[in-house]
Amino acid sequence: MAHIQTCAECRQALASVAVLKTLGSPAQRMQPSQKFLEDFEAKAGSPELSTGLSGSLLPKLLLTAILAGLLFLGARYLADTDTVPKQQQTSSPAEIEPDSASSENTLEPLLIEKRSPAPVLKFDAPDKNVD
Amino acid sequence: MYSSDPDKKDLIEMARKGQKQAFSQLVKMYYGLVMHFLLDRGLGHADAEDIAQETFLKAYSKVHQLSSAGSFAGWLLRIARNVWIDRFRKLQRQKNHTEESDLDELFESRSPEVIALDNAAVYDVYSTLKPRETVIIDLRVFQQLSFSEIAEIIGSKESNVRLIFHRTMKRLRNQSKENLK
Repeated sequence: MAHIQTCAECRQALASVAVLKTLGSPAQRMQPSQKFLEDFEAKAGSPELSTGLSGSLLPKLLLTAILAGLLFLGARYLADTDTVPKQQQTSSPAEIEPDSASSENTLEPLLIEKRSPAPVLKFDAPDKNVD
Repeated sequence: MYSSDPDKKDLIEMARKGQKQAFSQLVKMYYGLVMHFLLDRGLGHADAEDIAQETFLKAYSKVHQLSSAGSFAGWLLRIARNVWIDRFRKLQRQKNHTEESDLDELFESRSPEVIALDNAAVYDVYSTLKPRETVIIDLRVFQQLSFSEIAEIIGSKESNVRLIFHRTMKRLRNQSKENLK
């Protein structure tokens, strides 16, 4: 502020800006013709040109659809995870206790080996030779 | 902040909500700026008006994307520049393809309107402004953009923009003084 009070150049520049502001922008001296405006109105209203509103609605609709889909999937996943533990509770004893048929199948070779008779000696006992 | 003018701000807000009439008002307000910007690129009046039409239509279809923090004038001129570049490239491709005409012949150097403005009566302090000077004065004084923003929009160096602005202001000041005598 003090600078402007002392500097004549800057004071003049500010005064010029103030004058310009009262005169208005030099760019606004050029105004569009009626034909230009009519053409714009006609083209802006044409269906090929997606207006701002429809342009903004489309992404919103897409986003809503995606969110709804995600929510549905999430709800379904939660519903599935709720039922799984119950199934596990009911089916766990059956899984822990082996099936009778399958146990027979797997243990049978071992049982046969256990049940096999003691080995028969091919030679006589050593006490028979001592005389 | 769109602009220092509250009316413009309201119009831009209404246009963002899809009101065509509000955007038509903006077309009237910014037509001169866009035209001077295009005339500064060396386009003739007819070509500049054609590109200005396309610029406003593109802006209308994308106005909902406009960030509320930016300048409307700056955004509009960026669209104008992109449309102009696209048109220029198309013409260049045509030129390369057919090799019939020179690009320079397709655009007039200065429109009769600009020449008329330049030769207008002395009492009008704006009469001697060139299109580039008009754009810089408008963007700096009326749209309150920074020199760096203006430089980016018009595709020039910041130092160059500062120089043109200060020279133009000095000339306008001197002209005003002479008119007062």
